Amino acid sequence: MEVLQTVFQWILNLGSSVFMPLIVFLIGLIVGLKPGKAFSAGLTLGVAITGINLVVSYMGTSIGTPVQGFVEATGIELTALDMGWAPALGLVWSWRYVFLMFVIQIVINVIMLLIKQTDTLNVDMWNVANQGFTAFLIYCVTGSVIAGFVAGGIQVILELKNSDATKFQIQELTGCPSIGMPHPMFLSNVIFYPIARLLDKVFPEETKIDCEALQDKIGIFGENHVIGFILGTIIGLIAGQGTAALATGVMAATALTLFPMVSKLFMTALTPISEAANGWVQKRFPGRDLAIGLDWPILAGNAEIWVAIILTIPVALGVSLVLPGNTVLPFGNLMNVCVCAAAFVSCKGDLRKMLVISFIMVPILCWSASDFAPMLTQLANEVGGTLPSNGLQLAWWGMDIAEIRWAAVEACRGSIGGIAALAVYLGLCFPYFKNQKQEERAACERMGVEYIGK
Amino acid sequence: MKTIITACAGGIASSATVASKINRRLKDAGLSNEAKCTAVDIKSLDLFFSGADLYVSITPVRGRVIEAPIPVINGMAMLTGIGADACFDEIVKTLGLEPRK
Repeated sequence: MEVLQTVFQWILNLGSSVFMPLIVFLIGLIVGLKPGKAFSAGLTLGVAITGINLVVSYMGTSIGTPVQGFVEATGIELTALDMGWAPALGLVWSWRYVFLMFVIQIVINVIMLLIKQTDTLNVDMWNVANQGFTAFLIYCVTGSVIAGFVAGGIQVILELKNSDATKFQIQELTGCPSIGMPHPMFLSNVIFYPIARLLDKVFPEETKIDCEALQDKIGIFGENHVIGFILGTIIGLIAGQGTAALATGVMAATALTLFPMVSKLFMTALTPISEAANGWVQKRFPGRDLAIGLDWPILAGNAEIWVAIILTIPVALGVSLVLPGNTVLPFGNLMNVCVCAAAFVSCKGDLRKMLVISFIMVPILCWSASDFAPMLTQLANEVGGTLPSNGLQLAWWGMDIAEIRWAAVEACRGSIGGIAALAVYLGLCFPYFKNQKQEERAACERMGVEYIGK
Repeated sequence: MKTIITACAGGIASSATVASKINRRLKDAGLSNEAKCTAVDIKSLDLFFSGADLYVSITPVRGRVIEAPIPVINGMAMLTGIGADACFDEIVKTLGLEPRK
């Protein structure tokens, strides 16, 4: 036993860029990949982890210094830089315990299918990191890996339940039957849905806003490199860099363009594994009408989402400058899908209601990101990133279910407010799931398909 | 060499999954020197049309895929795995290729 522990510790100490590929290689062999393919998948994950570190430290040095100058020139204490969801979840993929989430996700899903508590088979492997992020946060505040994974497991169950409860609405929106959306962001709809119904009374008539035309006009501001350039240049100018601010702008554009390029390597590594695992699960449930659980972007063809996101950017930047207690400069995640894509479903695509919800959420996104920044920074340092020693923190502004995660973290710290917020959230789940049944029936009627629900 | 593009919200997760699946199938069909699939960011999609031969869409709105200057195929099957064989056949056919294996 002691030998085993020593070996395990030795492997862990090799660092996640060695350890995680090894795990993926072994899981690959277990799910039936050929050794060569499993090795290639594992090594690709190691490359992805190392690559993410490379771009995170590039961003830290190239944009961190102008941000410091910005803080000195303005006196506004924005000491944490938002890197966006791709590197944030990339860092989570390099957390040493995250592979457990991989296993727990599959086991919970299979058990729930077996005892007929869900009809969704979640094939979205990327968002295992999103469940892992919840586990990581709870682990950070409680110091207990088990507590972390209990929280992650609860998230898995809620995600599957929500996917079951909304699948006909998703079918109506996409036109594709038998898919579900177990993405965590839609758990925010437990809160957004009642707000949206209140807003139905404020905006009773439907006003047609041509979002597609609007997206054509302002869409360029949503492109990663364009946002990066504009923001980088402004920060550089305020920091007193003069014409050198333009170079800062290009560097910021570079960071935001490279993040996705590197991050997609995670999926290149994980897709063969997820395909094999899903094939295995699907074969064991013959004759079951399973909904395939997918990541949210199959809704990304809807212009309303992008217009709402772009119109939130100036509000987010403005609020971040004046909000007491905020330390995060929204940057990499300014194109914040987590609120707007969820609100798109609960607001039935009404841009005005989506914007109200998106604006309400901005301070919560700022405070929760500020609270979690030290944890993410520590993770980045552990993984072996060479962060600049200028005290710059890394943050993820606009994370999925920010309000729920923040309440859970605060509750774990023993804060009454956190416990109360979490209790309110769980209480709201009951009317939410009841209301979804009506929404599902209505969606089925509009599509002319038979409603099958529990 | 033909270029296939597929796009999602960031060009990172969903589209990279589909690209990875298509590329593996191209390899299995002996076509990895004939065509290759790249995941791109849907917000910059217009930039990528000019260099591509086929757009595999995984963002249908009420069953419709967008109009594009290049041929478009609904690639939801590649994402769910249900009907993926037929979808891949359509991709190969649209590109005017013949499977080698």
